[in-house]
Amino acid sequence: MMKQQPNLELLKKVKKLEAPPFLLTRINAKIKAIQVEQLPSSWKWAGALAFGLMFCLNIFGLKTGHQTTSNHSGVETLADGLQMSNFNQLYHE
Amino acid sequence: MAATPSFDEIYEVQKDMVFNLCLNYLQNPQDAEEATQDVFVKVHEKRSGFQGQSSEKTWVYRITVNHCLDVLKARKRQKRFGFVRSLFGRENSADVDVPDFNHPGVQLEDKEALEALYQKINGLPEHQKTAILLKYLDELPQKEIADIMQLSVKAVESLLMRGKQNLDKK
Repeated sequence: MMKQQPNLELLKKVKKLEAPPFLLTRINAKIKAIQVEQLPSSWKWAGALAFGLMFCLNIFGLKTGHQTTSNHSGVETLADGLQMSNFNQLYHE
Repeated sequence: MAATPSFDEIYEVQKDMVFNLCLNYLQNPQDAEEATQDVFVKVHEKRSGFQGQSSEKTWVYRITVNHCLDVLKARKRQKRFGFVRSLFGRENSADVDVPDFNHPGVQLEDKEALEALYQKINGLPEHQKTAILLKYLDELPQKEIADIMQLSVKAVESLLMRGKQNLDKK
C-alpha cells in the first residue's frame, strides 16, 4: 500500500484568529509585577555600599584586634626580662 | 529617521501575528495566550535594546519563535521528568500532562487531517519546524524567514526541503 503524503497546503486552511480581548491589560499587569519584583538600581547600589563598608570595618577590626593580642602585656615582658619561669613544675623529676 | 514606536503601537500591530504563531506552535489556546503575554513582556523589556537592524515585525517574530521553542523544550523536559517520577511510584502526573490538540483556527471537517499533520510537524527538529510553520501557515517569503531565523535564504530552502522529506518519511 502506498503511504499517504502529508499535504502541507492543508495548513492554509487554518484560520487566522484575533488575539483575545484584555490581553494588553494582563500584559501590563505582568510588566508591573516584574517591575515591583525588581529592586530599583539605587537600592542595589546602597546595598552594595553598605556591604562594602561592613566588609572594610570587619577587616579593620580584625587587623587592630590581632595587633593588640600579639603585643605582650607589661607583666609578661618583666617576667621574660628577669628570666622567670612561668612553668609550675618545681622539682626536676 | 523614523520615531521608535511605543509599546502600545507595537502591541496593536503585532498582537494577532504573535497569538497565531504561538497557537501554531503550541496548539492550545490557553498556552498560546500565556505565551503571547510572555512575548510582549519580553518585547517591553528588550525594546530599548532594539537597534533597528531588522524590521520591527522581524524582531517580534524572532522573539516569538524563540519563546515558543523554549516553551516546547520546557514541555518536553516536564514530560521526561514526569516519566522519571512515575518510575519512582508517584501516581500524580496530571501536572506534567502535555495539553491535547485544541487549535481553534482548525475547522471541524479538517480537524482529523490537520491534527495528524501537526503531530508530524511537532516531531520535526526545531529549525525545520519553524521554517515550515512560517512558510505554510504565515505564508512568509523565504527571504523574510531567513531574516527571522538569522540564516541565509539557501539554508532556509534546504530546511524546507529536508522538513518536507522528513514529513514524507513519517
